[in-house]
Amino acid sequence: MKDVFRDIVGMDGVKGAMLLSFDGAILFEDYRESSAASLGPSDREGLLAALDGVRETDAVYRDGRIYIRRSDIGFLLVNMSAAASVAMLRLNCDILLPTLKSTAEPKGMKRFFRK
Amino acid sequence: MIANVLIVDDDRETLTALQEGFAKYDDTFTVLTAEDGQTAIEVLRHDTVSLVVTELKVPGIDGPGVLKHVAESYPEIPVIVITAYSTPEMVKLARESGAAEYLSKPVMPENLGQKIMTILSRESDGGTLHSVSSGIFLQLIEMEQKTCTIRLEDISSGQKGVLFFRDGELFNARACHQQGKSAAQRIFSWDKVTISIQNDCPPVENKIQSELQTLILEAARLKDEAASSDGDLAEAEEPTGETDAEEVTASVPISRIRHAIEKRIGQADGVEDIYQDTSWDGFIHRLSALGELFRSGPMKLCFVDKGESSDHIIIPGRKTTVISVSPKSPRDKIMKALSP
Repeated sequence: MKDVFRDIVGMDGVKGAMLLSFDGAILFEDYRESSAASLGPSDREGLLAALDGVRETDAVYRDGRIYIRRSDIGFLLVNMSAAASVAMLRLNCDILLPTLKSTAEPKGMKRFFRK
Repeated sequence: MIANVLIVDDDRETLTALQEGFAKYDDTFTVLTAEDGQTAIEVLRHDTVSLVVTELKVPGIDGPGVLKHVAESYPEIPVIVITAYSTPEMVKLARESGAAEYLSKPVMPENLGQKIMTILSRESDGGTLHSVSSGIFLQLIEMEQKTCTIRLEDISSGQKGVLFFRDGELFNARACHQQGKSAAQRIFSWDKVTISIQNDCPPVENKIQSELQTLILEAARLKDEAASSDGDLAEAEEPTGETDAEEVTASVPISRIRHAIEKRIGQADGVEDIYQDTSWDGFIHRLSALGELFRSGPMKLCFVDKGESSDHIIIPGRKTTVISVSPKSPRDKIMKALSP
């Protein structure tokens, strides 16, 4: 999964990214800044409840920006500086997120019958 | 006037329990939270806080550090210390550092809530006035040579400020992370305010050193200039020079938001409606908390796509403002126009 997000995490101004499953599990996490906070279980639960029905949100803060995009397996959260290109990030998400479905680990017996 | 109470503790369970326990006081005070000392200092810089409740052991700048910072920079703000590590030395340290109260954990929300209410009542021991013109009232303070701390809230924008008078002379002012003359001029530009008078003034440095009348006239002049300018969003809301966009967008009237968008983008902006809607407050609260976690500062605005016929741009503030936009609208341009 790390390969899928390489282009996003490597973008100028992107500080880190996290993929949060719909049941609150962190499927992927990569931060360039070691000081980045991690989301506790209650934060994740509350955030997921707030994101119910949301396809995309782009929040602008005084010192940065957080972009959240729904995918087939969860929400991608991208933490970035105010100067990062959101248009480029959206484009990368348009290209990369559809591939997540196929790269997600199959569950149950399917895992033994990979193509 | 609803006061802001800042609670500093890295124990989220405590924060949640206190926030829930204090819900019944929401017509008196609002709870702001910080999980470390540095965040607490940032909150103090950006919000007008009436009272700090701090755990002694928090990450980064610890409780005594927060106490010291408050005593030096915000001497009028009382501090209640709570700690799970209570020792006689800790109590002594807290008292010597100027703590108003000291409580050992576990702290019952009801007990702490009562202490907060008692301390906050001192903020208005000289009375409260609603919907008054600040200029006329403050000249009376000067004439009567009063020593007092005056807290003001602008009725139209919800912005808050503090003025410190000693013997009728304005010593200092603080509003929207400004201090001194610029803060005083900002406050004097507010038309109608709610005023709370506290009958004492902490020892503060005289950062004004100017006649009150001169300051009030200068604020009026700057306000007139801003009103007669081209109506630009930032200029109209920031008569004193230093712009902080989140305050601007959080408080401007709908007509001014519409004007700012049309000015930057033109009529074909895809804006369908602009209205105030508090049903987004929970969503805003979560995204604001996320911003705090990622140390991104306060939220200015956010775009939301829910797959409906319209998308939304939400501007947090005293009254949350919602801009409904067509999915084909130039959203990046609109957001840039509103958060320059």
